[in-house]
Amino acid sequence: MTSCNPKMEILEHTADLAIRIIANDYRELFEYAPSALYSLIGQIVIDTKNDIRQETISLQAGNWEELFHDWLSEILYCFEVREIVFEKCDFIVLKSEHLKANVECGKIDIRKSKIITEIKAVTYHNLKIEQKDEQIEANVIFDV
Amino acid sequence: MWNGPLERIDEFRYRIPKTYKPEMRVDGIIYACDEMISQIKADKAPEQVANVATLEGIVKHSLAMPDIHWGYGFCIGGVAAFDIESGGIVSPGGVGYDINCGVRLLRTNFDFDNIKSKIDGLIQALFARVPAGVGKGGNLKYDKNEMKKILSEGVKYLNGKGLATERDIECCEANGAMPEADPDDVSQRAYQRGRDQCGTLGSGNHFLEIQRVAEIYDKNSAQAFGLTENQILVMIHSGSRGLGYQICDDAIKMLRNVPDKLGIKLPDKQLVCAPVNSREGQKYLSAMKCAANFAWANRQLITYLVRETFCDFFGLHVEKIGLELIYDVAHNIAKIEKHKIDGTEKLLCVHRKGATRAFPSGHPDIPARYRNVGQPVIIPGDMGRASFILAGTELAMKETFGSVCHGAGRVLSRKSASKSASGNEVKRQLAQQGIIALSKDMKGLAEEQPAAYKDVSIVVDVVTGAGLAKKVAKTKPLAVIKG
Repeated sequence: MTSCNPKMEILEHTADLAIRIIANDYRELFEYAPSALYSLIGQIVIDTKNDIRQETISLQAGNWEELFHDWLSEILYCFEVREIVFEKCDFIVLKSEHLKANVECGKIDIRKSKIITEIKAVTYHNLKIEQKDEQIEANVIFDV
Repeated sequence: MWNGPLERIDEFRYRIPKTYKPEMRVDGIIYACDEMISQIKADKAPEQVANVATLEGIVKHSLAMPDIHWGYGFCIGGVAAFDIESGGIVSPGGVGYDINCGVRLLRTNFDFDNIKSKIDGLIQALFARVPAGVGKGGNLKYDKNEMKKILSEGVKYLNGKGLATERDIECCEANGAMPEADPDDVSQRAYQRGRDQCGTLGSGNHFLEIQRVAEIYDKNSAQAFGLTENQILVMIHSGSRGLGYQICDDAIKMLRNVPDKLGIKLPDKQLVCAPVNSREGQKYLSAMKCAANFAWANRQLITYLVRETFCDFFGLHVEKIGLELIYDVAHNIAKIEKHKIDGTEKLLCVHRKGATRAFPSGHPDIPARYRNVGQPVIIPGDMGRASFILAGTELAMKETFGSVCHGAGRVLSRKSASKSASGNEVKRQLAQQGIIALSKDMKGLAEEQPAAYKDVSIVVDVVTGAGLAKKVAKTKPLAVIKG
């Protein structure tokens, strides 16, 4: 999966799952999002017998927060319904209101994977993306 | 830590005055006792009560039940009603992602003393039959046409398939199907996420529990509900699974520009909303009803699997075993209901998020068999302590739009709970109390351990002490399957 240097920490939340991701810029944040989400879901094993599939994903939103929400939701949907993970993301367009990415997708080996957390949805509650010092800080709460 | 104003009204009621924020239209009222207050102020739930009080068309108060804790948008344990004629809103954040997450209770003809040696085998048989756990699909798969029928007809559709009885329909809130649910208002993604999940428990706090009646407080009501001392019961807690989550997500996306368009200023993006009488509001309500009907069908199919398992295990016909539905209540839902506001009957959109409908005796919306005693209100506790069966009262109609708490309410985050004891330790501790706990997910068992929850007895004492419900019976867990 995509390797980059952002950091994720799990925050205290009474009922749900709250995380903070710190990245150097928006591109790094969006690149890191799939592996961050998968690490919360469990240990995912790719079925190497299936070919890597290329897909183009395009999203429109009102601002960075909404776009990040929609990106995480897309990753979650593809994981849950299509049983695919985004292994590499190449962002052709990444602006606050538009994302277009060429994605290399791998098929999940469900039998070998260990799913430990069901993420119901990406919420908008306390959803924040802020520039802090030289970095981007994103706070997200998932309904679990 | 929340530092806003919380004024003690009496032993069971606290007020957040509307002067706390200029945008608040009404006071917030939290039902709680003194010993709960420091814990309630420990997270942001009271702020969420105040935020809901700012929404268009809210009437009386923004309410929170004693199982209040931090949610998203509305707090968990939140109740709020909006006057439809005055531009009152509906908000998907006031219902939650797990639309019509709810609980049902089945009674049996078995006495604990007669089958106690068989509980272990029985729960193992149920564990093998009822799909449970993260992302777990079921054996019952429905094509899109059948899904559409489930979404529009709920339990009634299953009755036509021989999977539900007439009593199952009669004893479900809304008779297991909200009208005016148009399956065409549901996205393709929602169908995909729910396609093989009808008849599955799911994960998180969902469970299936074998219980025994430990104490009866109100003999008359208990008799009406078919409850006797030491009787074996089955409690099922699940919701609308992936279909509901997607419907909520779709709705929030659809509505996220509506507040700006209408000049509505929101304190939290998760509170996006639209007037009930708007195209967007109606579309959400229609899709939400589809999810609600799916959830009732889900709990019904689990019931069907439970009945099959009991019959196979005991080698008896279901009539001998019982397993009749006492009642099935939603605790994440928005309903259009008539309530009296200052002496005038109004049509309201009542949001219950982590709250249970609790209508009193005589109310036409409760089954005729319970009309003399009030609606059965099922309050699951945690897997180590107790659960309660209550009945609705007239005072709840006056104060809380006929609503009470939905459970114990969390006190520990999942992270803190997991640190406190591992899944295996929890399983061992429960075994020492004579409770069998089964789960495919030990992490989930740790997250759902009894210490993660408030003591449900104290929560129930608040709602009954406040006069919102009366205690009918207490049950004790014997064996539990955690999702």
